Amino acid sequence: MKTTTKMMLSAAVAVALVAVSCKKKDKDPEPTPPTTTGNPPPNEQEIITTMNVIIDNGTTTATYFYKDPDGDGGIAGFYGPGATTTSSQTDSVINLLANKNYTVNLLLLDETKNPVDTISNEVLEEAADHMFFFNQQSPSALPNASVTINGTNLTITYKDTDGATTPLPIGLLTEWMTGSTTATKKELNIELKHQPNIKNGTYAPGDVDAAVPFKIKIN
Amino acid sequence: MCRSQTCDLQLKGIVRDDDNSEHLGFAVVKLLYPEKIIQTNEKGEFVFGDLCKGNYKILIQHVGCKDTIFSIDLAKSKKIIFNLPHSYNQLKDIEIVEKKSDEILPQAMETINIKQLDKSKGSTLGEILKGVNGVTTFNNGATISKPMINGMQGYRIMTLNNGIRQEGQNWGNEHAPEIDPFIAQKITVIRGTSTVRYGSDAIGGVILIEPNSLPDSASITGEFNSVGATNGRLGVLSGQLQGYFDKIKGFSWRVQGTIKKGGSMKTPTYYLKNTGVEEKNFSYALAYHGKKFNAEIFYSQFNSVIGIFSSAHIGNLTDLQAAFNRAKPADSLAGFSYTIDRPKQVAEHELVKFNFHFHTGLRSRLYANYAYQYNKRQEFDKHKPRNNQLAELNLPEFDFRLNTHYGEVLWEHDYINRFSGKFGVQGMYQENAYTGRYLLPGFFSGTWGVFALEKYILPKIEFEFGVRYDERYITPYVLEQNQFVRYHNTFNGFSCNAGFIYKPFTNLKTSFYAANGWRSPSVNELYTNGLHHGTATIERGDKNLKTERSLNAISNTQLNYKMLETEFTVYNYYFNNFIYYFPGDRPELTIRGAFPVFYYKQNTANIFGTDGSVKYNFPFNLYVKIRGMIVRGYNIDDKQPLIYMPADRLEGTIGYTFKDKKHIKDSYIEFVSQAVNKQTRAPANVDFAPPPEGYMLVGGNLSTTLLLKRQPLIFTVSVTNGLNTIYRDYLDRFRYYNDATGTNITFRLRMPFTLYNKNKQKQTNK
Repeated sequence: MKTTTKMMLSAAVAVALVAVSCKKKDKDPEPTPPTTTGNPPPNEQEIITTMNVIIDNGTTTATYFYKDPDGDGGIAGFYGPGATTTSSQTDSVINLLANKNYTVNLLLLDETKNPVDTISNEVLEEAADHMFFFNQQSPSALPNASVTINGTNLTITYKDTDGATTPLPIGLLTEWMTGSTTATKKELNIELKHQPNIKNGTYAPGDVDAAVPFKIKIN
Repeated sequence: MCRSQTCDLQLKGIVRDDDNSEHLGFAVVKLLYPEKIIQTNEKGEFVFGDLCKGNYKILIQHVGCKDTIFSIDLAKSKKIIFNLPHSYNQLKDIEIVEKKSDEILPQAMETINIKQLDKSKGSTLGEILKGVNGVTTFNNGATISKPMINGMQGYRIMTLNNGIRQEGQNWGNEHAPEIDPFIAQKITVIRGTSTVRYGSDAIGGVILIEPNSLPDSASITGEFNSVGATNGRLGVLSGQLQGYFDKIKGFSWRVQGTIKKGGSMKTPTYYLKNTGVEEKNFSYALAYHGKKFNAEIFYSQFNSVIGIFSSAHIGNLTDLQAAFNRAKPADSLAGFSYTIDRPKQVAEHELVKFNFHFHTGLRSRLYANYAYQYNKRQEFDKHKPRNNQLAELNLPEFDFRLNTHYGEVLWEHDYINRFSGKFGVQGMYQENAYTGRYLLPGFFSGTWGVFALEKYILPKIEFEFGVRYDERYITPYVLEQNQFVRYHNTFNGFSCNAGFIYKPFTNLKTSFYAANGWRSPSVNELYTNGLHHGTATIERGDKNLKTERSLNAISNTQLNYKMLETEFTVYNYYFNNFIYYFPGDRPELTIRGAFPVFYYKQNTANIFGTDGSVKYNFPFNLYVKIRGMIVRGYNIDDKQPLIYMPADRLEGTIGYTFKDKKHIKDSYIEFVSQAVNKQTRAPANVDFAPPPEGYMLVGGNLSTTLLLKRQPLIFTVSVTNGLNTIYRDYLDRFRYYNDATGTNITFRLRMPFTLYNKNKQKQTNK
């Protein structure tokens, strides 16, 4: 009898203690993993899937792109135009003509979202924290911030500024001036760096948000 | 103050074999309350000092003998001969108390007791365990440290928190065990497999974190700990209180809590930005001890926030190479701060455990245990999303929830016809869910196993053999081409162990243990697929991985001769389908640039190692101790060394023990110097950077116990990296980015106290 009372007492105390200490877990994700037919779990992530290089020669535009369908990792990315999957990969060469001026817009997209999220708009909003670089080169100072691509006669001039007290270029809008032809393809690495509170117009600080190695040939 | 209250009585004892009166060295002698553990010397002698008048229970354990508890009334200092029986038949006026006792296992086994814990309290669990032979750590800077036993870590090591297997996100190299080391009154490391007892995958070893046993007589006692360290300006407060109800017979309880806060750590030349740490932990236990059954509930909660050095969270391969080529990390100009910003980890772990323990006879017990564990791990990248709405939510980029249910029924019998043993059924069910970026799939998983373990006990030798069968399934939901695909994997297998402990003389003990074990590939080894920003690598599992099987042998020898104490261990593991993490031959291009790709591969492999220590006690209270270890891992198929094996190391200690005075006792000072060699046995050209150079560190400890009236105050001061040496360690992943931390001086105070003790009051009243 006495033992029974004690057992009941201990059980009651035990239940009370557990009830008090276990945290409320209503914010937890569903413990049920997604089913084969279900949707992916809520993905609050912001990713960049696509970099479009839109090249305007004054009359027509050509779009070169690199697309990484699920962002970094996972499915491998591919270059376009022309390709729709990794297996139909085409070359990454951007073809330009000699002694021409081109207006180039860079567009970053998150195509996992519906509708497609234009990341470059957010880059523009936070322009003071972001900057594009070409072949990791720091451009000359404003107003004519420019870089010359190694081994070519291509000069890229930044045409936009971030609106900070001491303005610095962004690189979403640039002007490309070509000189004479190049015999071979050359590297053109287009890179967006995130430089929160440390942007100073040079390549060194910050982290990479997007980086795509294209090739360039001046015909 | 009454004279009878002075606590200066001494209990001297000699432990003898009841059959042949041989004096038994290496016997473990445990004073049950207040708890003190010592070992007999080679003549079988031991001494407990500073005892008060009263009734004491002493548990004596020795190979080949039954664990026996003796009850002693101490009124004045005494010398007693304890005859340890081989069987129950020979017992006469010795009281046997059923109490869970420590077993002597045939594996290499080493315990860090409370006195040794005094030298490392406030450090991470991994750092504390480094004091044990054969244990090293795999670090992510100074704040994240994973224990490594015999060159193995992660899934091949099992951590038992108060008897329950810790289940967290064990797959990450930067995921340290979520346990408050202050819960532990002692920490035991068992090396070599005990695959039968603990599970077929406990291949490398088992870490047992054990609190003090709850009191069994009316009293309220407690302990207060405080720690302050100069590097990181770290502070820790920890306390516990335990008691036994006077009015309600049979009930005892404990509450315990710890708070810890530290800021930026410092290398010899610069601060490491954002390397603060915060912990808030508590636990409680309530137990009922009856004549027929015992029951216990234990709850613990662990909450931590760990800052990740901001320059170690990098973008892509170009950033990594740039980081490695820098003499100082990019953020090296930052000053000291307690603020923990992104990138960071937030981990929470809860454990609820119910234990029931029935006496099925004088010599046998039945245990039924259930435990529930909840593990939450959030990892925050360096930057918030650019989208303001998302940024405002400040969500983690990875958010994992792991729920684990564990149950077991064990039956244990003591010495019957020279046999003692244990039988059991164990089962586990697990669910893992996540939000955020995809890396490790959500999964369901279940395991069950059944085992039998018997010991055959002869006067000088003890044999142990066991067999176990396990089945396991894993059902993950894997993201393939933007679709979730359900997989179902099942694994099963037998494991067996055999070993012996041989003690030909009182001062020599040697053991040998052989075991086979198996481990099913884990979910991450099978299905990980994604970019792990914490480590800046793309990780790819292999869903065709097969079960890893191991065959291992370990031998441990302890010899005590006059002033000399030695211990020596040698072991070899042979693996079939050893699963490891290996860099691919070329980086993979993503929208964020190129990243190195790591694959999970399996091969035939062998890990061999040896370690040992020699201590010599000179006259004039001077002692010298030398400790060393060597581990060799070899990939037999690829004919090259295994990656991430600890480098050879040697440690020397010279110390001096001060004579006890009236108010000062247990005082010592020691100087420790550790030399770690360069790891020259690493696979060529696969790591981001070659292994760093060897290094040598010096440090020391100073400790004393002050007695204020009857209140002991234990002070310890420890110095690590005393010369502020600049170095990097091969098994620290942050070696790519920054130097290891500089000089650290840690001050500790431990104060055990008694608020109330009925036994003592009675004596005073007499």
